[in-house]
Amino acid sequence: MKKPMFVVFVFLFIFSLPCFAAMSKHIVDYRIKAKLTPEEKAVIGYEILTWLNNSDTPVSELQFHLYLNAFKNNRSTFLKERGGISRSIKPDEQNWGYNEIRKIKIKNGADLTTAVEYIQPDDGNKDDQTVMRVLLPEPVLPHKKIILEIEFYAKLPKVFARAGFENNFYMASQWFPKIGVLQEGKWNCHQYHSSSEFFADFGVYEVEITVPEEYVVGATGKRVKEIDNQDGTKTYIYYQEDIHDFAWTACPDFVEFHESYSLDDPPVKTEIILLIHRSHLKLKKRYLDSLKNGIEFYSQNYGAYPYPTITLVDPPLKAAGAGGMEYPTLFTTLGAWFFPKGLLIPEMVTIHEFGHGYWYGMVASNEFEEPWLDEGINSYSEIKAMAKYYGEDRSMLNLGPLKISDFTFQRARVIGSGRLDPILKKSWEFYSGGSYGLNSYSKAALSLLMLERYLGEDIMAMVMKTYFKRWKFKHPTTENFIEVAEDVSKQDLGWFFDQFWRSPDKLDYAIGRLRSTEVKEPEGIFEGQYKTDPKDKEKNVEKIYKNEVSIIRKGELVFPQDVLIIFENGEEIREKWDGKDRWKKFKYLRPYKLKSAQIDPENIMILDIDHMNNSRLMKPNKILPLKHALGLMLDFQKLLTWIGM
Amino acid sequence: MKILKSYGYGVKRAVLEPKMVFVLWLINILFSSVIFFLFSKYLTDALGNSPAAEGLLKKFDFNIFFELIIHKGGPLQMIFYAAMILACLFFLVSIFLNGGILSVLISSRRSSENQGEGRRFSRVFFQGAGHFFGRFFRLCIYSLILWIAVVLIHLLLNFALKPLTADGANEKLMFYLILIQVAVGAFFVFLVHMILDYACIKIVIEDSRSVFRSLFQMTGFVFRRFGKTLALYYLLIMTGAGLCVIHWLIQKSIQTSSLLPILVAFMVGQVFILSRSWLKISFQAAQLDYYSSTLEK
Ligand SMILES: [Zn+2]
Repeated sequence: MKKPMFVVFVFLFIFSLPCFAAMSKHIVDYRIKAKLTPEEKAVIGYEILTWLNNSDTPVSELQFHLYLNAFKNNRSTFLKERGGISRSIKPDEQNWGYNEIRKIKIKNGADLTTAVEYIQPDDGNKDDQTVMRVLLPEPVLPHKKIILEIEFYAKLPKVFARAGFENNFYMASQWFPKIGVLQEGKWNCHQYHSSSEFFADFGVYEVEITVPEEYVVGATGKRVKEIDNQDGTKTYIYYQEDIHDFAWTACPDFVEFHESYSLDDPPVKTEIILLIHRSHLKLKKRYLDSLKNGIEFYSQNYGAYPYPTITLVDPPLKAAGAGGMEYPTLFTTLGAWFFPKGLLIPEMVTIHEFGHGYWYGMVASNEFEEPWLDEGINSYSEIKAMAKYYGEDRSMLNLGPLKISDFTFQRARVIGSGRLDPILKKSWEFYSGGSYGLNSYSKAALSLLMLERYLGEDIMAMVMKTYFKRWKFKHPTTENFIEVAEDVSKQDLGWFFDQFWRSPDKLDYAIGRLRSTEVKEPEGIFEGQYKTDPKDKEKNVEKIYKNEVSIIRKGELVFPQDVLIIFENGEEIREKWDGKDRWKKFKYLRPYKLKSAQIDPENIMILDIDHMNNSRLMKPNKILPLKHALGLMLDFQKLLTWIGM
Repeated sequence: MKILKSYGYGVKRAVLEPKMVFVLWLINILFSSVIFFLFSKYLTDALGNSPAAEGLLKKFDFNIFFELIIHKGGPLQMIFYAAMILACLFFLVSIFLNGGILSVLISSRRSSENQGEGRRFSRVFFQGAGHFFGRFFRLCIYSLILWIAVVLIHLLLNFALKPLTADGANEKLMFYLILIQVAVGAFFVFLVHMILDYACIKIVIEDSRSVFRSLFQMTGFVFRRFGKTLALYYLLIMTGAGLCVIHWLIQKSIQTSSLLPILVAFMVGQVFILSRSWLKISFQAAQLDYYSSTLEK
């Protein structure tokens, strides 16, 4: 009885939301039953997957991600790349995680369980079982579907990277066998790497989650039904279309809040669901406000948030490894009871992870191969949103006189880096996790901010809006982004992207030298006559100075330069230079000396690694060193009074 | 009452020793001026010619701060090492000065009339400092036993409190427990410091060479009169805290973006350092008075 009624319900539900009708091409359709067994720290699952061969070639094998196998043993590619399991975790048997395929068969057809094999398309590491291949007895013909039934067991690891358990908290992410993406007749199904996220096709998910009744559950999509099983457990049913992954969480210590959110322009109507760990209840308002800010910012700047729900999950501090992660219509944030108001980590993480609903969730680029497309674009959006809502100069830290912006943090990371990788690289091919992070997040974000200053804010806003509109619910690549940027700006931007995205080199222009030397009148013997400089005798003769400003290109990268030159009498001159040579000199004869010179007065060159050398004074400022040296000396004196106590 | 009397004696005695306050300040500024010269040279080289740094005069800017650290961090590291070395040397010098301070205080107690203070001061001070330096240095080394005990107490406390927050679910409790541990740690640090003060006093009064015995006896002394010694010590600590607050309030009200206010702020800072020197002498004098009063019984 239950089942047909549910189908009717789902049917009615879908048709009550007409805007949902196929925003994306549905390649996959997952119907999953999942049962959490807290005593085993595992999920017992049954999955019916309908997969559409959307290509023009027959497909004779299927490839699946079994991401939890990354935590199966210390020989997995993920743990080898990361240098082992987190040191705070004891390698107990219960702390490892894995996916076990208990049965896989074609619906009403052959049992494929014995045909399962593990492959390692990225690194050939035979110990890695994060990609599974199944050979089919008959190929799936072009534009035809195959239906599979899979029984699986998902043993969750102790949380240290995204998925897992911590005490009574469970984060089930990358937990079910998920089919890869077929592109041009070939499988794109990468192994789980330490520095990589995910890639999958859009479709429909209906998931039934059964947990002990005291657990509070949150999941991707909308809860369409709740069943009390009368045996100490409850089943929650979730449904969502136009998504490419499904995650859920359960913990008896969550406190659940609901609030409806709407926006007039563009029209947005969604339900905010907060699952806040009971030890963080005082962060509720901070989470809620920042999420509302995020929805408003992204809707107004990129496109209306289209899903009926958005779920914020606040994990306990000990499960921080599960925090700060995005899934379709659900994300985990990060907070701690003792975070002061001026430390804006909960706000920043909330806005960032919500933002991934756009750059990953809807604009579903390949995070394995082009991580900057989601992390970089999202960090760019995050910096702008944080500046708008929390202050240009204090969007990260605002503790009394201590004010640091999100931008400042990201820039410090970039200019202090070793420049070993370009932005465009596969996520697992970076020199290190640090290099992956700084290029995919910070440098990519700063390059977009620099592009914005170069093109102008209005044009960049159009670029971003157009990119979202053109590529939502699809799988765009870097080339698609460049195409949009060039289309909208009507400029050839190849030189920009080639330099800042494809090369790890540095951008650094500097003022080389400022010189003002007095011009001597002709002196010496000219045509048999001896001449002296009249100024040596007559005081009233006006002095003339040869003023010289030199600009140096210290980095490999080339960027057109604007130069602002100011003389002692206040005269200002603007010069332009294509920036291609290694240096350029500007010379002026004036009856007064130079005061200062500055390159990039509009502050466009965000990626210039040294802003201090972009301007120079003719006469050094003496008060500044005095002030700070006296200040430091007094601090040292105070320290000595403690030592001498 | 005895405590208040000793406290009153201490602060008054320190007022009557302007030369000693001056000597402590002078040595402090001599050490610190090295940092001043190194840092002002560094800043002139790194920032002097940059108009971008002018904003730093008005308020601290992390953008510039990070650029400095990243591009010109090398010399800063050297300055940091220099500061470390200076701090270590100053520690030795302050062991030396302790002997001087106590010698002057004791000699002035013995000849209660202060005539001839001027000429006698430097002789008593520096002779005393030299005389007791070796013993106080040894005391420092023996005090490691007390410091190890403090560390053990800290570890024990940590071990005892850990199960309370093992599941990590109650972050509020976790936070307060850490605060309590810090407070307990500070209490024991001050306690050991106080014991060492009394040990120095005993060594100077008795001109004793048995440093270890003095340390041992004065540990007993402090624990026997726990409430009183502690009350006197914390009265002085509160005086110091009061000075810090006053200095902070004055410093906060000075906007230092031009030369004159910068110099005024510097002078205010020096008055504060002078007051800290005065407080150091007050500590010694008050505790000396209290210890002596227990001997009179
Ligand atoms: Zn991200």
